[in-house]
Amino acid sequence: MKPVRSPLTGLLLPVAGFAVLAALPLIFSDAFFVAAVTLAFLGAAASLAWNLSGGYAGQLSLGHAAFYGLGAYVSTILFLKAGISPLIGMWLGAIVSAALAVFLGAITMRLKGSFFVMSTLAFGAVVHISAINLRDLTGGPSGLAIPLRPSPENLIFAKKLIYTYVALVLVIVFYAITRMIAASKIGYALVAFRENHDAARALGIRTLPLRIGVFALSAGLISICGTVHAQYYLYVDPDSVMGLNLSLNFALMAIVGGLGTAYGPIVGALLVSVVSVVMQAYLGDQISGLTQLAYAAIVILVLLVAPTGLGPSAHAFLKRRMTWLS
Amino acid sequence: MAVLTATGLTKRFGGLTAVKNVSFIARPGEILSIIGPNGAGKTTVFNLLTGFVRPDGGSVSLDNQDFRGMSPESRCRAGLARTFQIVQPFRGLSVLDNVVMGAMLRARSIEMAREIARQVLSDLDMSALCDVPAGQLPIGDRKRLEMAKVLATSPRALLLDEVMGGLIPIEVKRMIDFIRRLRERGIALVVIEHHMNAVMQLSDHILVLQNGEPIANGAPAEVTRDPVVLSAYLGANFALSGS
Amino acid sequence: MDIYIQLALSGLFIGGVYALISVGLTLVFGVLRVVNFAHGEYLTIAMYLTYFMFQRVGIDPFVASIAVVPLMFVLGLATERLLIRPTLEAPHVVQVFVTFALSLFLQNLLLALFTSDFRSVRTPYATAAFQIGPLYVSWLRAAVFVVALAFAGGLAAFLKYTYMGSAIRATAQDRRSARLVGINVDRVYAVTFALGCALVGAAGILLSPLFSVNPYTGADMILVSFVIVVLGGMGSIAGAVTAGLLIGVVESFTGYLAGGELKQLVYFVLFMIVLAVRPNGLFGRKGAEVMDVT
Repeated sequence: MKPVRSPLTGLLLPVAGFAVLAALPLIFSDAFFVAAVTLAFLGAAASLAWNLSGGYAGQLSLGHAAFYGLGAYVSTILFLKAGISPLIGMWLGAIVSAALAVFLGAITMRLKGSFFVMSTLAFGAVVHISAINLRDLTGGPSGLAIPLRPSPENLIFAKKLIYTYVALVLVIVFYAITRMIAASKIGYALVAFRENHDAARALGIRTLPLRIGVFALSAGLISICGTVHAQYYLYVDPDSVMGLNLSLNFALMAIVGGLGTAYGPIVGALLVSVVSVVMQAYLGDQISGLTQLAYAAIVILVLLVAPTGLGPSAHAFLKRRMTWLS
Repeated sequence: MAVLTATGLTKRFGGLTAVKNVSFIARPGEILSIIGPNGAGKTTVFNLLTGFVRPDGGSVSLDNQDFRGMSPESRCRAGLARTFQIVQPFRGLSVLDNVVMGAMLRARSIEMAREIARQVLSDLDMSALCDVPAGQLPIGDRKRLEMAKVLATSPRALLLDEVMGGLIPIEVKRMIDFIRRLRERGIALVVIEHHMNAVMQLSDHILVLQNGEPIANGAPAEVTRDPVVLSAYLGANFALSGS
Repeated sequence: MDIYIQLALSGLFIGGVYALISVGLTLVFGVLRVVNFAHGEYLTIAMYLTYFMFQRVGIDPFVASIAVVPLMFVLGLATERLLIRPTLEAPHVVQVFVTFALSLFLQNLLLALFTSDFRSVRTPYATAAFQIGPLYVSWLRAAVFVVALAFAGGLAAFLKYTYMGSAIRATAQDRRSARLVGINVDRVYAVTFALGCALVGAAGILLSPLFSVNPYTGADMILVSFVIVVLGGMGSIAGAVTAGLLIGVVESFTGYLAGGELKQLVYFVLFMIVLAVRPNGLFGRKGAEVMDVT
């Protein structure tokens, strides 16, 4: 919340951070590594989008995979059936997602805490099941394959490295959007609602339209990530773009990194992918479940030990050390 | 300048009538105190005035604007603000950000809101606490923060719910001075207070509630002479603290 | 006509187990104000326990319950102590995601231990049935129904007639006042959470001879349970039982009329409609679920 006044932390640090991120796939150009970085960036972008509503307003949605999946499906279906470029399709997907979010928000935004969580779970399940069953449109459980026709206009690239930078651009843009909102009256009002609903009302802060608006923005942005996901894998199926685990991951990355901070989701996504890369390197795929098992254990530890997320906790720790030293 | 009017406010919770036929007028630059024993319905009156609780009967208006059906947010926007007896800080945020939340109402940007917030905090001698997380404040400072938050909304009428509860004598004195200054600014003030000394020093009018019903209404001197009030509420306590 | 009676009956039977799953969830919410998103995994664990006791030792599932239910109770006590109690005063996000992460943890633990293969308990009496008029009734399903309702009834009796039961009800009403009158609220929380696990464990045992188990079985079942708990009014045990039976019947009919895949869709849509229109549930009183907003 506190305005970042010093140019060092306000601008230089993020720019330096993004420069390092941009250099990563150039330094380690191994295909496995580039793939891991790409997925980390895409996850970070999606988690940033989730965090706008989940982190700042405290609306803990576990249905965001539905919007992610809609982005993937809308652009893919338009591309396959009507030849519309995914560059256009992704905006249409975003509009569909945002519209659906407004509808969902209008009926669920008055629900408290766990009731909101459950309503989004149900929403995610409804969209997921619908995608499985609308076979003519979605190809059912087996999904849709996108033919490899590389061209920027199709958002299909033969070189996978390009996707890495597409995802990084999303991260930077979403980060900038987050910073702008967080520093605005809208961001403050969302935080007021999250921290103390009655106190916010007593100060004349009207949050419902803002919460629905930011929920829609969040849905639209995450939907764009879904389109990029589809173009990267050239394949869309209900379980991999709409599963509950996906929703959970968007949330957990933000929570691990620092909920309701602009950098939190990025830190979280990088940490999560480092863990999964390391786990895979050491454990391989001999026993399924081990990577996820370790991931879940880490999340539980973070929640118990550093409930505000690793970023803010580290920051607070450093600050204490500094005041000690001085 | 605004006049806050309550007419025939009534609220029932199940079989219990918490507030019954309460009417008053709070004028700019005047302090109206609502007193009465615990459970007399004082805080419920505030909840009815600010729209947190819907009345079963009666109405509230500020100047000539009828508040019927309006949300707490809208009432605050119209100029009626309140503090909570159990203070409601945004615990995770700094003191300054807490006050910014109130100042946003009249400010076009966060920068402007921050300026207003600093001014309010300085009025309350709280400038040094700007960066302290609100959750870490001691109770006295929390009461002042509660006050700072609502003042930042530039209210025309202000409801103060036991802002002196839990304060040490020196803090009480400062709070009394501060409330007097608010009166000079022309804000219509309604105060719930158990601290009788403060009530007698501050009030232009006193409304006494018992079991939700008004039993007396008038200038402090009149009310304290009223035999009904004396037997119902003030009794010996007042004789002790008022001397 | 007969087919509809048959459908209603089989829906009612499975609804009995749904009710038992949901009773545990609603009890925990009513007292601790925590939604245990890992509730389903306790169902899975109980099903695995029952399976191994049956497969390795040859103990009948109904007999195995004597060991499995207390085991689940102890597991519940441990979970409460390690994860729930430390987060009761934590921000809401921590409460939600601690149980979600636990669900993920247990699912993958089971996956690492037992792979994703389906395992089933095949009792000799699984197909035995008797006939009433035109209806065929499975002995097993009828027994499962009766035992499930007996457990739910047992819980109700426990809450009504024991000291701990009264303490639990008092804490559900108002935790501060409960503490003031000398109730050991921490113990109430522990016992309540453990009871929730024991009850869902009992449901797992009862499901074992009917359904095969893999690490995701509980996760699939639990969403139904959310629907039931909200429908019945969060925290209401009678509501959960009624809604459980209702959802069982609804599922049975939609499964027949619309096909198996769509039956889930029907009750999720139903769920969202209930949340939108009557979030305190069909039978619940207004309380913790909605806030005033503008």
